[in-house]
This record gives sequence, structure tokens and C-alpha cells, in this order.
Amino acid sequence: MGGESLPLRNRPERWPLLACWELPLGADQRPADGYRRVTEVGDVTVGGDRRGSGSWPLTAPTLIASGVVKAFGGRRVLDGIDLAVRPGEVVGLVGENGAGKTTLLRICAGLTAPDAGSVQVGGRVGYCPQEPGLLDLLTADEHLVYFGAALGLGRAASVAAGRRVLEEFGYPVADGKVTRRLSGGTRQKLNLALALLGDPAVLLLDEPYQGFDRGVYVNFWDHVDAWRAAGKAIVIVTHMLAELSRVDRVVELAVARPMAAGAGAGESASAS
Amino acid sequence: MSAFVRRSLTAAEMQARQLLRRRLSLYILVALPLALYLSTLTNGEESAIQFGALGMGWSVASAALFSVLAARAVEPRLVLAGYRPAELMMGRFLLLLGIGAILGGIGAVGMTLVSGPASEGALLASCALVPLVSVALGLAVGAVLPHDLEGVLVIIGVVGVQLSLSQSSWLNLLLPLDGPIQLAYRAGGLPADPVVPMLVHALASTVLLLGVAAAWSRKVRVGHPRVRLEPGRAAGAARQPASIRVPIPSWRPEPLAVRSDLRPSTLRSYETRP
Repeated sequence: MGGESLPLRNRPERWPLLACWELPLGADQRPADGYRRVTEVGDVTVGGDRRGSGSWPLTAPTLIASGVVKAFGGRRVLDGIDLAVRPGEVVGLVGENGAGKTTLLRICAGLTAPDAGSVQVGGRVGYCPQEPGLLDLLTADEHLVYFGAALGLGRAASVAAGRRVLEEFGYPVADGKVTRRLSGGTRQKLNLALALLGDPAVLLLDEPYQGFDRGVYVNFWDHVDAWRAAGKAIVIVTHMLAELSRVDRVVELAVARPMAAGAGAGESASAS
Repeated sequence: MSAFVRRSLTAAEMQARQLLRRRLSLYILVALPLALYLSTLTNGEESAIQFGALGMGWSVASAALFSVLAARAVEPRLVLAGYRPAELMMGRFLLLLGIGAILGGIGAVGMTLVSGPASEGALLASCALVPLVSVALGLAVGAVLPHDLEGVLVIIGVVGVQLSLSQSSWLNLLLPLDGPIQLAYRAGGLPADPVVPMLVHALASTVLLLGVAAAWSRKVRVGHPRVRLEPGRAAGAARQPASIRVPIPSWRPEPLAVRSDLRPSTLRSYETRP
């Protein structure tokens, strides 16, 4: 594919092939021809069965980012990005380092202001950053109480809800350790539990499985299925291409790079 | 109890728990003013009280600064979870005021017993106002400056300049700790400005610095004019099409328009399931 310069509009059918080439599919996963392009971001066309659930949800998106633009130091990282995620839909956000995945997620969470464009979120947002944003000298329970108070939850309710998630991810909170003394994977589990407190309608997960061991990692994707079934709109930034078959849509952010010499308008150089 | 007060108290409690686990920091918080006071006792009681008060200011302002900086990475998440920046700031302010009151109390009792001040009222006022102004100073510096080194240097600079200026210099008026330090002079029996202007100066400095801290703390606000979050909407309600205010974004005819020099980030989307 390298060196080709077909007009983009004539190329979309190539993306599934590209995905097939990129994704190391396991024996239990769909064959390459199972990938089918149905929509681009912003396109509300629906169709096709999904996971035996009958059809795409015909409800309006819970998360809509329209024409999002963000530049850092004169370099435009995001240029007119549209993203719509419906309840019960899992979107995998992939791309090279520096493509703007985390920036887009932070903009969707309201943590970073876009230079242009808008974001609409119909519900509470649960955001799990890539680096655990925790307080080193508080215990897991204290974190749960601290974050739970923001949601109007009592101490017992916060701790119970958070511990339930933590236990499902293999961290039964009984040690009373401050988070500084926890392993990276355990800190990330707490990070995820905090994002899930209060049953958010939108989950924005930025590589949430950092440091998870293999068993918990597999378990994580089972939980993603459960969150989907619960009607959450989920965006997961991931580099784990092997698991992309478990999301409903893959959205790839291509990193900004200089134009190839001689490439003309309407051509795409980022496909190769 | 209102939600504002409840959340502010929770924030204060969690910050107190963190501070109480930093025992060495707590010891140093007390040791610094004590060391300054004791080391200057040989120069005379009056200067010892002044140095003791400044040491207290140094300790409290530094504690405030680091409480802001330590929470900087987490605070946006807390705000996203539902806190108002004002609640977090109020919680921090309450905690630091408590620490300042304890330090000020220890200082007032200790200096009264050891130095026998000329004016006990002035000493008490100084020990009450130094922590108050210092908390505001630390919060303001922590809010404005993004890194600990810059913040510490500014606090050292403010307190150091206060120490080095002659008592009669008009530049003292520009320094936030001038009011309480003048009271410390008076407590040591030195000639000092009238009491009321000193109190006004201290309170005005506190209000001004807290205003700066509050203005900057708005930077952790989550949601912008272009990002509309609707936290009151339940997950179930969000499934209803009517809950979305704007139409679904229209199809973009040329989403991957090519630039002449740089290709911007673009989105490709494809379904992974048949």
C-alpha cells in the first residue's frame, strides 16, 4: 500500500484490509473478511448486526465531538475531528504516539479546551487517565470516599461501590496501604474504580489496563462487554490491537506528518 | 449541612490525612520557626520575636504551596467527579488555617514564656495574623506558579526581602507579611506603625492573595464553553434521543483534506464486527 495515492473517497474499502494486516487475530477471532467498513465518524448511517444483539442502537449519541481542533505550539494535532458514540457502543481509539488520542479524550472529558469545535456529553463522564491520578498518601478506601463525596455518595456507599469493582479486578482492599505503596497495576485498578464510581453514562478510558497482569487484562475486556450491555458509551484508547475485535468501532487518529513530495490534494499518504 | 460545606470538609479531611502521614514534614514545620527564634535570641528578645514570626510565615506558606502542588494532577479529576474548585480550595484553606492556628498558638505561648513580650496583645495578634497571611500567600503562589522550585524561591524571596528591608522603608507596604511583622516589632518593644493600619494591611493582603488563588483555581474548572457536560443527566435518560441538544454531526464531505505542508490528524473509522 505504501506509495499509493488513490483519492481517499475511493479507498475506504481498503481500511478493513489494513486492519486485517495490522491485527494479529487469534483463532477465536473473526477472520479478515469479517471486517466491514460501515461508517465514518459523524456519519449516522447504521446497519449490520452486532454481537447478536440485533442491530446498532438507533438512539442518539451520548457523546458528540464536532469539528474539534487543537494545536500545540503551532502544530495542529487535531483538525476538525468528529466523533459520536452512542449508548451501548464501544469505540477503540488507536493511533501512533503523538496522534492526539489522549488530547481528544481529555477534550471529551472537558479537561482540555479545544481551540475550535464543540463537545456534547449527555450524562456523567467517568475518565480514567493513562497515568493514575492518585494521591500518594491516601489509601484506596480514602480515595473512594473522597471521589464519592463529589457524587453525593456517603462513605459506606462509596467504599462499597469501589471495593466491588476492585474485587472484580482482583484487588480485595484489606491492607490499608497508601497508594504510594501499591504496585502500578493495583494503582491502575483503583484509577479505574474511581472512573466507574457513580455509574457514569460515558466512560473515557486512556489505556486503562497499564500494569494489569494477563488474567486481569482478559477480565477487563469482559467488563467492557458488561459496561456496553449496561448502555454506557465507551471510548478506549488502546495500543493492544489484538483486542480490537472486542470493540464495536475502531477509530484511528493518524499522526500529523509532512506531505510526501508530489502528493496532491485529495490524496492520502497516511494509509501506508 | 449544605453540600458545599460537606464537600469542603471532606476535602479538608483528606488533605489532613495526607499531611498527618508526612510526619517529617510536620516536625520541620514546627522546627523551622523554633530554630529561627532560638538562634536569634542571643541578639535580643525583640529581633527573636520578629524572626520567630517570620519563620512561622515561612513554614505555613510552604505547607500551603506544597498542598496546592501535590494536588495539581488530581484536582481536575476531582472537579470532573463533581467537586467545585471553590470547595477544594475551601477545604485546603480550612486545613491550613488549622495548622497555622496550632503553630501560632505554640509560638504565642512559647514566646510569651521565654521572651516576656512588651505587648502580649501585639504578640498574640502577630501569631494569629502571620499564619493567616501566609496561608493566603502559599495558596496564591501555588496557584500561579506551576512548579515547586519556582514557588519555593518566590516564598523565600518574599520572606527574605521582608527580613532584609529596614523597618522604616516604604517598600514594606508592598510585602504581604508587613502587617503581622510590624505587630511582632511592637510585641518586642520596638517602635512600630499604629496597630489599626497593620491589621488592615494584613487583612487586605489576605483578601488580595486569596482572590489571586481563587482566580487561578478556576483553571481546574472542568468543562468549557465548547465542552458542555450535563452531569445531572442519568445514564438511562441519556439513551433517549431527545436528551441530546444538538443534531448529529453532518457528514463531512472532505474530512481528510490535505494541507500543502502538513497532514493534520485524521480519523478513519471502521466496524470490526460483521
